[in-house]
Amino acid sequence: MKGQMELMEYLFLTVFVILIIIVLMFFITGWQVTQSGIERTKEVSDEVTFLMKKFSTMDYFVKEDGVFDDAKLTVLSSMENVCEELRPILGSNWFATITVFDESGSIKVCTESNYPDCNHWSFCKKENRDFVSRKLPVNIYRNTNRIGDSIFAKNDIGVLEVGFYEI
Amino acid sequence: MKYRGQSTLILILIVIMIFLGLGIFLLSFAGSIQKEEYMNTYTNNLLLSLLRTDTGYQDASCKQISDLIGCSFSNPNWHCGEAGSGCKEIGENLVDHYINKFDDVKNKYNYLLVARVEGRTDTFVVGNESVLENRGDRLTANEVLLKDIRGRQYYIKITLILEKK
Repeated sequence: MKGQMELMEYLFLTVFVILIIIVLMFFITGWQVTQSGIERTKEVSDEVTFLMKKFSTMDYFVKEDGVFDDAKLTVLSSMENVCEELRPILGSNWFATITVFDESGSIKVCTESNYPDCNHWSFCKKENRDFVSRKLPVNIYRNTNRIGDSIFAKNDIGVLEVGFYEI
Repeated sequence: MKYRGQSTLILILIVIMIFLGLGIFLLSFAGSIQKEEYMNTYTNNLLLSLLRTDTGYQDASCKQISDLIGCSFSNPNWHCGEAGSGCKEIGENLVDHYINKFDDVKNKYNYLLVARVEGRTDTFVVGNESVLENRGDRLTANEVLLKDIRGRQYYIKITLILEKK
């Protein structure tokens, strides 16, 4: 009887050890999957951060670091194939928008025909795909801001949103 | 000897639980570092952009938000253009107005902007002062302005604190 009991005990122990090994295997696999997910998220996040910094400092768009020039933005956003033109510098799979917080309360996309009575610029249209985006407060230098009948240049406040598509 | 099998099992389970706990802790830590870096950049840019924003007044004491903050120490009752109120009051209203334009800040954070000149007791304060008393998750950005106040140059230290709601 004692021998059988010991045998049963070892049998149970073996089964439990196998179960534990399986749990550990699941844990390690899960860990690996999560790690690669984190790596991917970090890559996308780094990419967005790079785009955000590059966008807010590139001479094509800004008057000085963090201050976008509305005339430059209008010319560039009105260009056909602007994404293709910017691909060698900024890469692909991204979009960016710049919005001025003015008193109009509504978004008016800037084109060469309605400039300067507008407050929103868009580069590479937002697509219906998964993306990671970041927003950053910025200034927008309005070259021809109207106050009554006079025209003054002024710095407005707004937001830059940069997104990167998760492939 | 009778409970040897059970004690081994319990020991193994404890080891597994420690591994799982350690894993979860490390994973949560990795995510929060990235978010914090971005939010620090966000807070610094918010303060810098705010200070550089034009108010619409052409008067040198009132042209930008930073000028209004300077004016609130040199001559707080100075009237900007046709405005009925003093530059300090205009500055406080505009800072609040612009910060509330940012939905991310408005919905998720309490903010406090404090400007001080060393050696003086008066301050320029906008926002929720309870932020100073609470010990919640907070982000801080600092800037220093050099302004001429009554013929003397002063450093104005400006701090923006965002605290999670």
